[in-house]
Amino acid sequence: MTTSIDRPALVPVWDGPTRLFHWLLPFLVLSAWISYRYAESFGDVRLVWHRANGLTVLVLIVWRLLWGAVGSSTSRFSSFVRSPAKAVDYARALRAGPGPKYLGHNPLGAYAVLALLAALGFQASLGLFAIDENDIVGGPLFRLVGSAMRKDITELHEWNFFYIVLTLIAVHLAANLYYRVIKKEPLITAMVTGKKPAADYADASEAALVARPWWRAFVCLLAAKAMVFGTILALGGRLAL
Amino acid sequence: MRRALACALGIGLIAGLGVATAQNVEVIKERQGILESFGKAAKPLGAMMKGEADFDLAKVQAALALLQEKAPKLPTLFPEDSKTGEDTEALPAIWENKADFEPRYQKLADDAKAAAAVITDQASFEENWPKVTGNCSGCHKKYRKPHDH
Repeated sequence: MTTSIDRPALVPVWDGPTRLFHWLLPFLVLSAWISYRYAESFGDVRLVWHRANGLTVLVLIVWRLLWGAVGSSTSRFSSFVRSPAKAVDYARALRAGPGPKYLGHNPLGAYAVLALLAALGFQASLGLFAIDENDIVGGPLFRLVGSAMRKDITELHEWNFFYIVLTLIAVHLAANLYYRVIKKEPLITAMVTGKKPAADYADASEAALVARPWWRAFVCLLAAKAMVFGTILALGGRLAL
Repeated sequence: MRRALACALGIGLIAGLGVATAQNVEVIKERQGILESFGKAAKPLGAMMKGEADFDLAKVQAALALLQEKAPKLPTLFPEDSKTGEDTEALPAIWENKADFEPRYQKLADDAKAAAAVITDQASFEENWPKVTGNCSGCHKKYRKPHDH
């Protein structure tokens, strides 16, 4: 080892596609919000931007599910999702003392990841059936449901955003602040650089990154897009914005 | 005598207070009636936009005429004493931003007039109706109580 003592070696944690996916989400969530709330100011009453935005989120969530099967070790559900009991044990250990350090998602954080993915996937799926405030456009599948149901789904679409999605985002930010300030763990840096200092991690000493990750991720993206668009078309939906 | 005077004064005061705080129910009902008629007139147009009904120029022009006729009256229907009552969905923001709120109705009428002049067929309808109805959602998002929470 050629590293000095005050600068421990860095080990790989997150592959590039996982990081890009991660950072795309806050932009897309913010843009979905703004493109709806200020649609009239942007002259986009037909919500073209908002609808394209939602479809993109849905494709990306499906991509993440695929990546959870064929991505690098730290992105795979089979390796980072542990039993709820493990999550409780981890939370207890965290309260009692320093607690175990994890290279990838910790057992509790894993459930936060699942909750965020589920909430965003649900949100984007609701949007497929929703109609706009002026009743002039809808998501690609709005014709599948009756007019009363559309209104209910549209209200749920709004409710889920303000009460579930935003709450989970707040919890996510608070947890990251906690690790940054109290635990002094460089989680945010790791999600940018993909690396963490080498340490005695409870799950693995370093991530097993897949070979040629971008090529693999691109194939997953095509698959995800085919799945989302294919399902919409198979159900008789229209993709024109 | 003094007691009778005090009593009369008291009643007068209470009555005066009552008048001062009573909500202007009539004006709330009037604006609700107009806005509901807008919603009703816009409904078939929404179905046409979404491809669920055939284009019907007569219905479109009738809706645009209604907007031009009634919208300019609306700014006068939100006086200070009409903030609550009749399950009004009007948000307090209306009275805090009168300078922004009131001209919106004239803009709605103007946009309806402009649309009425150019809408002749399905294509021109699909292009121009959103410009009119965008006034509805733009105002509702800011000044109307959300329906779900």
